[in-house]
Amino acid sequence: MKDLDIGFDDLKRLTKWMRESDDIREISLSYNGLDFFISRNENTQRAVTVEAPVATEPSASTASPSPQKNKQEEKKAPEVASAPAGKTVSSVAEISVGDNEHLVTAPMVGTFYEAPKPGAPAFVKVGQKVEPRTIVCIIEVMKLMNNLEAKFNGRVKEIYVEDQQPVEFGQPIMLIEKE
Amino acid sequence: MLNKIKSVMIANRGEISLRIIRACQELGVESVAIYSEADKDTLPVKLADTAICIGPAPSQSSYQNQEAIISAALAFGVDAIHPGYGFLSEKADFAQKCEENGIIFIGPSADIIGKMGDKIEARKIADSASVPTIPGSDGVVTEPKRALEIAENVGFPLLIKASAGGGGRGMRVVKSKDTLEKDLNEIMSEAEVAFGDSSVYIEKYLTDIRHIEVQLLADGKNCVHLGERDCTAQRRNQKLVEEAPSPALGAAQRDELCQSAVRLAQKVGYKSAGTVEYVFDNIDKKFYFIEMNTRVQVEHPVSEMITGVDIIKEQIKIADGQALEIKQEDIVLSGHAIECRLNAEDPENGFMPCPGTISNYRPPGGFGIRMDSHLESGYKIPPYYDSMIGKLICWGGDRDEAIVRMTRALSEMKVEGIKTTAQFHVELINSEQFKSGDFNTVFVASLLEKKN
Repeated sequence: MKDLDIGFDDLKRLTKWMRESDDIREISLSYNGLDFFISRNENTQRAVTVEAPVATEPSASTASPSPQKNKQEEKKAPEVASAPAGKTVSSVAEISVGDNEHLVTAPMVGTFYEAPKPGAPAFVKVGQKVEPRTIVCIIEVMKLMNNLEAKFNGRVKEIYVEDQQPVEFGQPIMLIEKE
Repeated sequence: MLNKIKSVMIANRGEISLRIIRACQELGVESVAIYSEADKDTLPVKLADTAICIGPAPSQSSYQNQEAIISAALAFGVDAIHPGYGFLSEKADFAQKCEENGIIFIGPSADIIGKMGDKIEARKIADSASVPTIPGSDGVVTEPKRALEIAENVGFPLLIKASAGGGGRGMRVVKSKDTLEKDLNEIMSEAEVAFGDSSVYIEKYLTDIRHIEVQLLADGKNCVHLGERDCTAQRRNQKLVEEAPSPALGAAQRDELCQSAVRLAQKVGYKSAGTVEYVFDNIDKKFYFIEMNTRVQVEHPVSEMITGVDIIKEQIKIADGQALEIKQEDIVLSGHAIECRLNAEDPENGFMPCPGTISNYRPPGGFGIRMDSHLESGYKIPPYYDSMIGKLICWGGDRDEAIVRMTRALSEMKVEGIKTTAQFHVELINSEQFKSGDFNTVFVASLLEKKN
């Protein structure tokens, strides 16, 4: 990825720009091996950010953890109001992402699965080496299993969520240290 | 208090989200707010027991994203979804998805939403329940001869609408019989050319009308009404001021109107809160059904203020499967209530929306005042959604007292940092015409014209 001019921050800016403009519905960008596709249109295939559902059977023991309690109003200033309690961290602002790091976040609200099926070994563990196409977890959205990929060559530095935990849109899932 | 529902997800934002959270708190039910990235610092997110970010700012990706909302409900394990108003509240397919996923949709069934959402179907149901509809053709007319017959029965002025038209296209007002044949032929051939379909609807053209609606609560077996609301003060079909009871109705006609709404709901076995909308013809003093809204409405508080019934709590209890405890004879209309919708708009500049940051907010208070709003000092109004920032509702022993109280409250309230419609409301409700109670749906437009 060294000779690639587009970084994560550029994509973030592009996304922000698209969000603020009213007249753009879809953008697809292919550059130096990077594929970027974003759309407001319903029923559009999200080509790369979320892969097509895998054939994995939905877990029989569908998790329905109780929603996490909101903290009371005396929250500290920089926190996101909804930061779920417990060990999860839900705000990107709270995690400092270095230049050589990539934060994997939930592309949609749903349920996080660390493994392809209950009892199977986790897709990745902390310290494990990953490649751009390495599947790092599944987010279940209405019984559809969406694979998330590492996107970069590197190593899993941290995992912020637990298996079968519900995750919000944009919630940090894991940090990849790029190589 | 509730049997099946232990948690409610509120699939909405702003003041109505807050309104539903408050009802949940009083019912002892867990409230789960959803929010877009643009709303993360808002009051509903702070006051709900749980808040879940479901997507980015544009509503297609968040508040209208059925997949994300159902996914959140399943992942976080909620029992029911309250859709509020707007967004997904009248989407039959969303109600269907809730039903399929074992989530209680707080509203009527998908089937009823679909039926009542179809104007032609709803009119048929109204006719079958002996609810008066605007005189005209029952459905499309394709034969010019038949169209002429209907037109002569309806009387003048009348409106011819191409059935394939819409948004003002393919419509014509016929003032007298002299031009009827010519107008009819022209519009039918125009429609044939423009839409490939020459069929038309014909209805009586009403020029001097009020907008009156009836609030209902029904549990599938029994149905009660909470009287009517008058929403005649509109600007470009947007309601600005609503009041209850309507200054245009006497006791006998009020009863007739409300009974007709109950008949309509009973006809379809309606189950939830709902509103039947009518036009009231000021000229012949008759009301005609136009549509049914199968959801809670923005202006529901005015009915709550004159009846003392909490419509949202009742709606949740009905969704929980409970029978209505209220009987019609328990409902007594008391005093008069007015609601002003506060919009972040500049009345001096064509009601241009003006998002921005509220530098200082002072809510009004005192006897008979209710402020339903998600405003706070420092709140940043996002540009992505509706411009309504709150509703000020005033109750008075009679209409005059309610107007005086509303004027006092509007002057007491401060919303600084942005332009709002507050001062415009003061002028509106204190205009001679509003005070007289005798006005129609073009009254606000003529008031604005006079001003300029």
